Amino acid sequence: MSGKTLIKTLTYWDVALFLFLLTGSVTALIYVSAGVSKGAVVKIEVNNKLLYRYPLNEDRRIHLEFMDIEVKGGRVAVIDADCPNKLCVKQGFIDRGAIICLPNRTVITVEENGKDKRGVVDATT
Amino acid sequence: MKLILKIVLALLVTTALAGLFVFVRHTHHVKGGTQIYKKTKIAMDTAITITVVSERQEKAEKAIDVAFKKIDYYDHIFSFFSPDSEVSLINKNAGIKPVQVSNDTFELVKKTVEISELTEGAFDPTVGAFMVLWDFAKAVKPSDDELKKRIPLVNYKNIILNEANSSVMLKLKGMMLDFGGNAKGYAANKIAEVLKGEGITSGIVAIAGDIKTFGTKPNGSPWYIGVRNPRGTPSDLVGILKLKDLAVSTAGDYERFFIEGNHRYHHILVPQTGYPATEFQSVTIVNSEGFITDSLDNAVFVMGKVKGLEFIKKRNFKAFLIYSDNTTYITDNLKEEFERENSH
Amino acid sequence: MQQRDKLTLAMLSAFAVAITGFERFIPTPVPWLRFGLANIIILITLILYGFKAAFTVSLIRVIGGSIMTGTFLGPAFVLSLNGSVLSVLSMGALFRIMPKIFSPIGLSLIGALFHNLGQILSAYFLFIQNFRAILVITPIILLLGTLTGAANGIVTAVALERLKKSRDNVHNT
Repeated sequence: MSGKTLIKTLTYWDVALFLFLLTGSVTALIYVSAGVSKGAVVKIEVNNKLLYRYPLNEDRRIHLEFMDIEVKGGRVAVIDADCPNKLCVKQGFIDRGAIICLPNRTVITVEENGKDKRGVVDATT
Repeated sequence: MKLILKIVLALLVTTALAGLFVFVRHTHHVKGGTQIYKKTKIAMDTAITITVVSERQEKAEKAIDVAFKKIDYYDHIFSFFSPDSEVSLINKNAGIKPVQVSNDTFELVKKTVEISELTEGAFDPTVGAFMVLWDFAKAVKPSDDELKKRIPLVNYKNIILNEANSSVMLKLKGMMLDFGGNAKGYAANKIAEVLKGEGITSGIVAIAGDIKTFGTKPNGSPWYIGVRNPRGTPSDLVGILKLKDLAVSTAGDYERFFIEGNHRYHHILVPQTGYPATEFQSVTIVNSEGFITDSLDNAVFVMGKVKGLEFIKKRNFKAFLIYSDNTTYITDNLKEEFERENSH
Repeated sequence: MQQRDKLTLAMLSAFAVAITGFERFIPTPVPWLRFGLANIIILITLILYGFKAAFTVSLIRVIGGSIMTGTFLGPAFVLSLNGSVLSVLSMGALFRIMPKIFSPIGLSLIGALFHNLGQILSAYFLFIQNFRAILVITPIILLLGTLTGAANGIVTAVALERLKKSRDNVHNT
């Protein structure tokens, strides 16, 4: 099939839908990425339970039964995991946002030091 | 015909998409790539922290380096302690001859004299003659006589300024300029300008408790500046100020002090007596200019409860006061920026 | 159902399972990127043989694919099942209610969207009640889904055109 016939098949609604989805997801992406700022604390949750909460500025390795996590240079990554797709490992080091490993029901989030007000202060007079 | 329409539409879509992606990349660049860079150094007899927001590390580091060089320069000309600073030269030649100084020093002296006039002597840069008698680190308290003798030497009206050759002279021998009370705030503002000149659009210059903020954090929120609990540890805060483009200074009786016989002797001296002012624990002033905040926190502290409050209200300054009986007062025009800590 | 149609369905299902297995070996630059190539087969089935056939093929694909990749009855399987069912339902509904409005490209976009929404929602409700974490990845997944959905739609349109031509040829001879 040539490009011409392809354009004939394409309806205006197709184009409208494509544009709608694209602008929608891109806008959401901008909105979310603007709201997600560099964090100071890494939280590791398994089965919706908080297991660990570490400052991001201290390098360390965290060994879970099914997963190895490394905090290094203000960023966190899953080094190894025993899940089939290893999406979490592929995501690499992050300094904001989250890493999700669904098979292990593990969520690693990087957050601002929100609860401890003193940690949030940029300077003290 | 319909085919042409579709092709045109497809082209339009492609262009729109391309535009959208450029926009996304750009926004991402500004929002996502920016980071906060911080560096602390000891200078001007205190810890100085410069915080900048930048999308590139090299840019941030270069700006911070330039800023610290400028701080070294200010330290060199304004220092009360280093014998070859311009301020020391003026002091050495007190009652002898005028000393020609740099534009920076001349401006600082001139602006300070104006503040002294505005505060009717509650802020006085010639308080140096009293200052040298006290040593707060070693708990040295001068005698009543010693202080009394020096009262005539502390009066800003005896500073002679000559704009024509940018010279400064102190009329009486023994007079001493000491800009410990406001040079830091003055410098903080100037350093913020230096950083802006390096292309930095937001950051913080914190010279001890004298802080100038400009712009906002990468996520658009204001800078959070903690106000210390005067009777707590350094990390114990009574509140947080949320500032955009504003400067803040706190004068506190906890910065340099010693306690003797149940009495706290601290470094904020009343220029008319040479003794520490007694009615506050701390005075915090917020203004766009660091020079104003740093001068006025001292001045209001010296004025005391009644006169200080009257002065603030009359001129509509933003202030947060902690009285010596632990009660606090905040001006209406600062309430929006201030968030009290729960523990107090 | 006629014997010939059963055979066709079996073949389509086999294709879909094979594509699912094959897709695992394509290296992706972005971790959330799934091509969803099997949806091409589902769409062709939907348009040529109707909703029931497409639903069957889709179910066989999910089960067969997960057995092949070793995720059967695991969390990934549950997500895949929910996403696929929602996807084929949405495409089927759209195709039946207003068949003239969208071409296969539009259908593919809708299918991709609901596949992803189904996966995200079930991930949230069944496994990870971390709203922040889900929120962060949702836009990326939806964006990638839109792009791959469009690409799959185009492939489907081309394939359908080819099939039509070869059928016409068969009829002409």
